[in-house]
Amino acid sequence: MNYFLATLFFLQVGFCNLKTNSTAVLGITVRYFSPLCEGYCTVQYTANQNKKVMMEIPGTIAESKNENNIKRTVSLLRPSEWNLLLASFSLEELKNLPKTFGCPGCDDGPMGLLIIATKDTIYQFNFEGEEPPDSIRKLTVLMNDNLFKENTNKK
Amino acid sequence: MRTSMKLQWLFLICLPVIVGAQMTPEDERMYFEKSQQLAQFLGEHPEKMDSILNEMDRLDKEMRMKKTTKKITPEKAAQPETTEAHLSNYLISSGNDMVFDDWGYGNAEILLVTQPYKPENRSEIKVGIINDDGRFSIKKSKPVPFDRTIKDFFKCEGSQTIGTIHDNPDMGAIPAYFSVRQDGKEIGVLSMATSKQQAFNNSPAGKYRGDSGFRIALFYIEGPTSVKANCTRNIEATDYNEIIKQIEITDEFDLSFEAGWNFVKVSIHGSQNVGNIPYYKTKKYSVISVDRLTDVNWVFYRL
Repeated sequence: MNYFLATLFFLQVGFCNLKTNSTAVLGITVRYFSPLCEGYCTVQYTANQNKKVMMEIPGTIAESKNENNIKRTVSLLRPSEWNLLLASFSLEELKNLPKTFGCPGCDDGPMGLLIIATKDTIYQFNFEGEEPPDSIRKLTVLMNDNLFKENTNKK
Repeated sequence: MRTSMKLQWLFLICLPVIVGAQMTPEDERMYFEKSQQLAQFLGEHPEKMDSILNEMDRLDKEMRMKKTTKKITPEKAAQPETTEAHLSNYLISSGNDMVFDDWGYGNAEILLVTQPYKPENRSEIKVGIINDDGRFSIKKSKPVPFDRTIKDFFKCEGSQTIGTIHDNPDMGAIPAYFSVRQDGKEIGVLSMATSKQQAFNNSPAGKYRGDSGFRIALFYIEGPTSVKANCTRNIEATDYNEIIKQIEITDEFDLSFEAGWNFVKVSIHGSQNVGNIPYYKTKKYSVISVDRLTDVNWVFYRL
């Protein structure tokens, strides 16, 4: 019973988020950056309501620079996927959050950056890549796990 | 206003790379740096995605042209740029015989790969081989699991006011394609179409291309069902250079599926040019018996 009520509550919250965000959000980016690395040190996921783009960018230290070109994977985003993203966070909640969570870049993990562009402004949050705060955890998981691991074979 | 000015500024600083003759090491360095700047700009301004991607495409195209210019002779350089440069990685069979005369990749395996919504539901089934002489064969596949429905694939896009008639919108469906692999590594994709251009029409880059002919898409369907729709909408079309304009396109669905594997014929009817790029006027979807096709070719796309 409790599980059922929790599910209902979650669905209702997700629906409210979707309703609010769908009129305001124009695009979302999640970027992970590892300063001291070789090879593809930056992975960036960007989505708007029509497309999703994954970019892998080489680092700038001498050994890796110019050895690899920037990789870009563009694919179409289904409306259901975009709605899933919009329902995964509350814009109202993000408005009151600090701009930096934890200590990004202080340890060996990647630095995380979330950018949400709306009609009115652009929200930007820095976080520890491996430990995103609860308020954006679902969105970051969707962006870097679910939405960009399929369609990569389809050319 | 600030972001669009910044974008214009980025375009301007890209100009020295775009306008020029041949690719020098300095050009390559600049290309890399400009690509990085554009990638960063895309991340910071996801709302400008379309215009930034167009600029990246233009930058890439110019770099490829410069690299090509280095290799070709002066006589060839004097000729206009071929419009089929984007098809250079494609092989096509002569007729519907299962052989590629120009095959040069050695022995390979053909796998049927499904495209589910959840990665854990993906199926990869070996269905054939390609011999080093280019001859290949494909056998029928067993059923595969699916996690999406017919309405996820066949419906009107871009408008809430136009409806699609499904007699059972929740019938399970999954698309699949043929992956060509060597030692477990994917080296290309095999498809059926009337031309290389038609196979390219199926790529994200060519979704709206209007090269004439048809291609065959493979779908596994849970049970008998049908879809009918006639959807007209406007899209923003570009020649990836200077022209951007609204054009009208139509998607027509007249599909009667049976349970099991179905071959969906996707055909282009009429085209409209934006610059030199053809966009389709009408795209029709129907289910056909693949045994009766005579004008289809096999197309291999080398990754």
